[in-house]
Amino acid sequence: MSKKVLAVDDSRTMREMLRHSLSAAGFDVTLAEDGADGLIKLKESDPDVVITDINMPVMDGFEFIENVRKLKELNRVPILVLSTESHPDKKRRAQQAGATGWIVKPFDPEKLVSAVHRVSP
Amino acid sequence: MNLDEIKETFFIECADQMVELETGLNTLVTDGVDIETVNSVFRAVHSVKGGAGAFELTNLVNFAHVFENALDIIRVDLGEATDSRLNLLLRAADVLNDIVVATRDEGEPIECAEITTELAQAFDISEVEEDDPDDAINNFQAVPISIMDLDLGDGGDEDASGDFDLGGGDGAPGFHVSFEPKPGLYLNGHDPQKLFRELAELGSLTATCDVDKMPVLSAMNPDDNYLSWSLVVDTDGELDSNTGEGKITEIFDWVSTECELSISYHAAEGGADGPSDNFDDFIGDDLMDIGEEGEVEGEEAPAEADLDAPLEGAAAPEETPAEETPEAPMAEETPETPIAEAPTAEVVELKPAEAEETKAAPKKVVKKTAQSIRVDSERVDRLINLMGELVINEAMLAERITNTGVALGSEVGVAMAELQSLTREIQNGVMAIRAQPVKPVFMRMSRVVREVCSATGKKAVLEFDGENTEVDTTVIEGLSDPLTHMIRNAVDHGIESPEVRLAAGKPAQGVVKLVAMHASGRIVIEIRDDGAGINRERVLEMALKKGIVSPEANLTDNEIDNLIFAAGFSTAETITDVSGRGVGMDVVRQSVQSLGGRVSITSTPGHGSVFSMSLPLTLAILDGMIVKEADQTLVIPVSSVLETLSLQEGDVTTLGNEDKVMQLRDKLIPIVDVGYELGFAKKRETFTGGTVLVVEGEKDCVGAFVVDSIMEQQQVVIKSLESNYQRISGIAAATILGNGRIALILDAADILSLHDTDANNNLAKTG
Amino acid sequence: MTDETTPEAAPAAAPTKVAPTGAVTATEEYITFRIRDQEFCVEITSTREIRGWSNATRLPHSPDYLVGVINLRGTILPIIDLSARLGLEPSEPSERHVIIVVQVEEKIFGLLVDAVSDILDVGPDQIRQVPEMNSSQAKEFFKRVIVIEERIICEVALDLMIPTQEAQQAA
Repeated sequence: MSKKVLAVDDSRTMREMLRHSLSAAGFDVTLAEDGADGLIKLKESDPDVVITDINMPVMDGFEFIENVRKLKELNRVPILVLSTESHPDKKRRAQQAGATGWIVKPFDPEKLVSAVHRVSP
Repeated sequence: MNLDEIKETFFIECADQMVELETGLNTLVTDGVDIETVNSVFRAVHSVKGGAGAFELTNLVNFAHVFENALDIIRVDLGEATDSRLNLLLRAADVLNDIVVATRDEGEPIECAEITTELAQAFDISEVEEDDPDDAINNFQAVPISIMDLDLGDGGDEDASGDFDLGGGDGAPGFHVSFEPKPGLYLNGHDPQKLFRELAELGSLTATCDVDKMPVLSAMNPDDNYLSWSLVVDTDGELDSNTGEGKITEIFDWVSTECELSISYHAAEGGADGPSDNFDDFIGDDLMDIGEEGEVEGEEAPAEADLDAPLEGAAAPEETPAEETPEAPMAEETPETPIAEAPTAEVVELKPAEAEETKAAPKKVVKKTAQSIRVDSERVDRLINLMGELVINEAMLAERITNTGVALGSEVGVAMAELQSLTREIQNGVMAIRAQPVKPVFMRMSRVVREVCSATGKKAVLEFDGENTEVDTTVIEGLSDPLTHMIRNAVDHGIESPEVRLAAGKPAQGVVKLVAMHASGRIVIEIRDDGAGINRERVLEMALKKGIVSPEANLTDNEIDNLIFAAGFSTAETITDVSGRGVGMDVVRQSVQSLGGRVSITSTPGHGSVFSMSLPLTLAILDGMIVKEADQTLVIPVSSVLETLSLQEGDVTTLGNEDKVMQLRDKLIPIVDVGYELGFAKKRETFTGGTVLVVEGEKDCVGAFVVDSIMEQQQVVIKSLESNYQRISGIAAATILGNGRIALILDAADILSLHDTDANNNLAKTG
Repeated sequence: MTDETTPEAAPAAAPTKVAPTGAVTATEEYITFRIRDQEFCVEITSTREIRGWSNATRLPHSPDYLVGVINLRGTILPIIDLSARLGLEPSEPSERHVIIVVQVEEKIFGLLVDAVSDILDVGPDQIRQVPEMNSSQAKEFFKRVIVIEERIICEVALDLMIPTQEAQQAA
């Protein structure tokens, strides 16, 4: 069975890019538009890995990660942050929120896939 | 979706983001600065940059990056948002939009060096930070993809080189790694197994699990970690100490702050290297690397790390001994770590209150996300077509029921009435799906105002009201051109120069207000300016000179004002490159009429003018006057009909040879024999008793359409003739009536112009 | 005429075209119809449906072979009197006539004919170039000629049926 990835990004372009790259690598991809949507989709899709943007409306990536980590189940799912921001503050905050790893946009599909493999069970 | 489609999506999204950006910046200018708006503006630019990066659209990335840096300064301190800076950002937004469009259309690259410099100066973006974006950009170009931790690894190598000759360890050849996870490592979704898996890819891995710290079960805190590992990676000499440590550092990068880690190298020949990197160095590398990017600022001290040490470590790596001496290697790989996993299941059970809280929190926001969905526009179009079918079928059914003689009050009649009202509701609901706020078009007008201002030296600000008023997308598409013209006109001809305004006791900066509202099933858009108003004397003089009105004509003020919509009329004292030569308000009138709308102006000298246009809410359905003529059923758009009347004997006069006219109040208007004009019938011999619809065409043309009878007025679904055939002069479109037959919708303006302008020339002379 | 053949029914009548690997002897299906005593055909792949005559709405300023437009389930369908289009005597549309709905690229229109007669499987060897004929006007509207036993059937060039803008203005 192929591994499931949940990708959370408010940009439709990025969502489709993620789906495109990850599907090609054999992942089963679910998309969400922001953190709040991500939490719903997380429960629905029970992913093996989550990839999330940081800067999103409604619920940003930090809040999303924090919320995932507080869940009763699925709280240990690896979460990769995909962001154009490379500021150490952001990185640190993401880590404190509970992020598993970082990928700086723009991403190379290959690197993305290898990063996902790196943290997936 | 393939990549091309995603790219298309990207540009659609860019358009949305540009509206967000423009709207946000305008809000900041008019309503003052608030963090929410700043964030949404930032997000818009950020999102454009992100997508552009994915497609390696370098120009776009570069400029978006500079833009983002400028915005970031405001985001950090709202006090930095001065008016002049915001106005600069508005101009930068125009440039960004141009770059987006040029990139999309693969047009000439947009020159943006000047505004980039302006941004850098205005926002005092320092040298260092200016270099930084360039660095980021270079990264984008050279390596369109980068995973940050890879950069960190490089730093590690450099530092490690200083550390080598130290210590002397025991044990097997290879890289010795001491790894003690903190609880946070597991909480962040890491799993030592995965790290070991990666290590094993470098060479043969020997892992030893140290369970010494494991307490008795009763004393165990499920949130804590009690395990640590000693790992030996034997690369069989394939990796030298630098490269190997770099690679191992990479593997542990994501967990660097969540564990105690040391790496050392033992050469195969028995010589041993001391420990090199420890945890602090690790963080040091981290920070230093980031420091090289020029982004180090006063950071919060990370909980686990000593802030000073890393910085020192970055400058001159300290020689810190390993905190734990690697144990003798064991031949086995580490078994599963059930204890480490155990907390996973229990952690929340211990904090049920918190769990409840988080459960509730997302729920609250869920509602928000459900507020909008994206739907393929083709699906909506299909739905609208089907809705059209429904309207037609309902009309057919109603007609058949009526024909069978069923009474309105009967069960069938009542059910039919219910069906009709349901259909009407569905129709409104379906049309509402495709309805869009006029906001994006309105926002584009800000730019028009800015451009005209800078071309003419005038000062004006554009204000909005009702920009969320919705109208069918087909109408929105057609709105942009006439609106642009009218806005240009309002600034160019309406608003006075600052000196003149000041002399007249007005503020130097004029105000143009764009207002949208719904009124009696149509959308009304007004463009109000507080300028000089129409110079009626000059308009009249011009109109006389151009033969648009006759000298005898006795026109009201309002009629004079509306002369500016006449063909070829232009009152600009100096022809500016803004309003252009000869292309005046008649173009506006034509394009508004082609949308089934009307436009007019009211003006108060010295106080300004109000352009008002009224448009149908959709181009899918129109209000039609159903008429019978020459055995045909025809539809005339109600929007073209000024009034209806019936012809009495003596109403019709023949001018010259052929042209028939009728007198309507003090005007003579040409008579159009519709059936003859369309080739359906011979010329009428008498018009007496005929039904007349006074219709309005382009260029102030008015005509009297003579038909056999008017049947009724009803909504009709507009069907294109062009899709399967071609355009036919005099015919706007077709529709399907209740009896299933097709009826043609007349293009009144076209028929009038076909009828030729002879009669109108006569009108001008006779007045 | 109750000849309400539908294209869906046609393949069932001619089950030969099922060679899955694109056999060399691939045949094409043609639908044949009559205008008076002449037989014509069009490729079945261009055909959408066949329906009876219903009253058309006249279009102003249109050529005489354009009978008008009818409502085909919400689509405005132009109807061409094929007889008049081919330079033969114009038809007087009635209940007896049949409309063959065809599609050429994006455009859908109807051909008014006397009756649909047959569906033929035609092999490559049965297709000929259009020979020289007396009526040059008719010739330009034919694409190919199909010869089956004693029958000679002209295939109508559908892309030439809808008038061009110039033709319309001349009319």
